[in-house]
Amino acid sequence: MTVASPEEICNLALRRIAYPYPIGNIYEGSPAARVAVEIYGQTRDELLRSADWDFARQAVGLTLLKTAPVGGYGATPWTPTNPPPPWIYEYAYPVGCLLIRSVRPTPAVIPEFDPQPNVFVLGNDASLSVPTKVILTNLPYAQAVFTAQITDPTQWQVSFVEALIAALATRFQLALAPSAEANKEREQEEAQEGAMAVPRRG
Amino acid sequence: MTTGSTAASIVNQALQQSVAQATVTGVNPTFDGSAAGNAAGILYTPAVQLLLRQEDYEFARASAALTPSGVTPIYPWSYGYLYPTDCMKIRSVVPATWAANDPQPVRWTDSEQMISGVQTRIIFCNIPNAVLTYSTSNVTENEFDSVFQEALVRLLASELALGLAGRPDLSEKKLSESGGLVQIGAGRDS
Repeated sequence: MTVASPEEICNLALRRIAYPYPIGNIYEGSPAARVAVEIYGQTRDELLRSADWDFARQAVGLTLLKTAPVGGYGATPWTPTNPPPPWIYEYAYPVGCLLIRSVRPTPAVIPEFDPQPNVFVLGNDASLSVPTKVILTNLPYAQAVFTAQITDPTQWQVSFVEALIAALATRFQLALAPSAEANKEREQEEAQEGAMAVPRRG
Repeated sequence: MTTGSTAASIVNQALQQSVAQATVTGVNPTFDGSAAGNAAGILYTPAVQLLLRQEDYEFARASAALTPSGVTPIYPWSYGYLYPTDCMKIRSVVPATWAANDPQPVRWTDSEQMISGVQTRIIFCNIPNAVLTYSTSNVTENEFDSVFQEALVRLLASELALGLAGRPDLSEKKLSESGGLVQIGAGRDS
């Protein structure tokens, strides 16, 4: 069976806690649906972020926002139009990104026979018109490999679906049928599913 | 679904469980003018509405596009809508459209707001063209499911046992039975 919708995934999680009433639509307003619409997106995103899932890997050329003066700040005072020192480049955080896996240079020659580690940090630039999450690095023409917010269940691998069902079941149990023993059982299942999920095997 | 049920037949079942010698005819809220009929006329509609508010019965689910209140909503909300007159309980405020794979929760609250000098019940939220899923009072006895009807019979029996027969012991027993049935009947068909 291929799950194709948030409702199907939530219903599998509800079955796992023996909740007798499945969801028809996530906005139907039933007790389970009210919980589902609150927890679904956050649980999915948290799980996407928790491991380097192959299906969620994306790469993008970063959008340059600011640069430091050539040669540094010896003759030029730092202003908010520059990246915070000591960084040379400030790039926009990619849209739909849940986790930056790496920042790398755009290769001049491929294959690259002498790859070097590249450092970067995330920051928040309050000097922009809207305070924005940014990537600070010393790489020109930088690219980012990141975990994207993939919301379409048909794109997911089976182990991710299983882990999401387990994670949702834990939260449904707490919200719909709280019991100390069952909660513990669900948490163990969630941990087990998380450990069994092998995100990098595609 | 309980085909053939009427308000009178439900009241008569309640009377059978409280003061068995009485029966009523006619329709809610007037019934037949008897002592039992007058008591039922006072008690019947509030009892139905109480039960409808208590749990999310499938037969009472309704959806409707909300009507904008026409005045600036109370801070910090962006939109205000009139509370539907037949709404017993809000189940969910639904956006007009949403990403099927990425549904987002909708925050809302309902509150009073003065409109043209009249205190009016308003649903506030931050989405335009909101749709409401709610429990409606626009249901007939034929639409009641069997568990709801049994809970209603016992709730009415509880109230009639006190009002007509002066039997607090029986009233308490029937109220407890009704409460037990409410919990059974709250789930959807599955």
